[in-house]
Amino acid sequence: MTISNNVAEAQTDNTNLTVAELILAYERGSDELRASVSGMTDEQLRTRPIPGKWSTLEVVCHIADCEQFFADRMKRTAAMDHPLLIGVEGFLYAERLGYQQHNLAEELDLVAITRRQMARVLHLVSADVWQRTAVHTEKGLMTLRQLLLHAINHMRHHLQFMAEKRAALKKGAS
Amino acid sequence: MKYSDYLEEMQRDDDFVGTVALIAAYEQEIDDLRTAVAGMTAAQVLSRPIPGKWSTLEVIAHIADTEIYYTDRIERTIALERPLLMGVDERPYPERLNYQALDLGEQLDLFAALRQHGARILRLQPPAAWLRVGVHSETGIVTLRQLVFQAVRHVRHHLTFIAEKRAAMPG
Repeated sequence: MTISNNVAEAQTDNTNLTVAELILAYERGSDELRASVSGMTDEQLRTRPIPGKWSTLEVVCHIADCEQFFADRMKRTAAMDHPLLIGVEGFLYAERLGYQQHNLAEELDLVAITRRQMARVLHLVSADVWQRTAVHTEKGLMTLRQLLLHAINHMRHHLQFMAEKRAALKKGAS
Repeated sequence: MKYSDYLEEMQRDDDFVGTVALIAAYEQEIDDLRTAVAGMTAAQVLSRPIPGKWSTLEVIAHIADTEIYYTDRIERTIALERPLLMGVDERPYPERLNYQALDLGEQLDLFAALRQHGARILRLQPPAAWLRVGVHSETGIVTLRQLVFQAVRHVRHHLTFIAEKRAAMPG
């Protein structure tokens, strides 16, 4: 799948979901992330059980960094008029930012506080703000609602990969 | 002072400050910010004792929001080749993001988590990384060092205003 396809999939809207339901799903993501790594040893976190793929710690760091620009994009869109949102090649970060040497608890705490604070902002914005738009350099015109969906779906996307890694670790150990 | 002059001063490099000292100053501001608002009541945090200026909570929320994109710029500059770093018009943020309805503790925790995360990344960088550059949409070419100086000076700049507000409050 190309990056643009990934972006398109991550922004797929489910119009049946209310804003309140979306914010709740966004807030719950922090606990889902914590649960997905619960009980893992340092060694398991840094192992790359699937050849050519990241370790679990690298995925968590990727999520933590992405959460920062997702929150930044949502805030720019809610606050500014039609801002330009710059895409990013997140896959280059792992090595240059030293993801394997990061601290898991620090990353999880950063995701949790980012989502908690952002959710508070989202609860407070008026109904019309949800249709405010920004221009994303990879995807084009996006609403605040689509940006929130992107954050929710991006984490879910990676939670699947983390489950695959845990399964592969279990298989390797048995 | 013109905004462009302000940005230039914020991003000015200082050869007398080494990397270790710069990271220490960057991390120290976690405590500096908490100390600046320690003991304030909810009413004091929300009050605007200087006419036409933000409340203390609005300043803290501004610092936390700014820190999100400062951290993002630092990371992009380390990880990407000459990334474009977009400036922000921060003026509409307090009203549109309802800064007065935000939670002080949450804002301080967000700031602390971002700085801890950023400091860990900065400590891992080899000397050459500090001269990596990004292209800021308002100021042009900036080095990683300049971006960290900007983050440090931005908080110092606002700590002065918080102190002024506290001094202007009755009692």
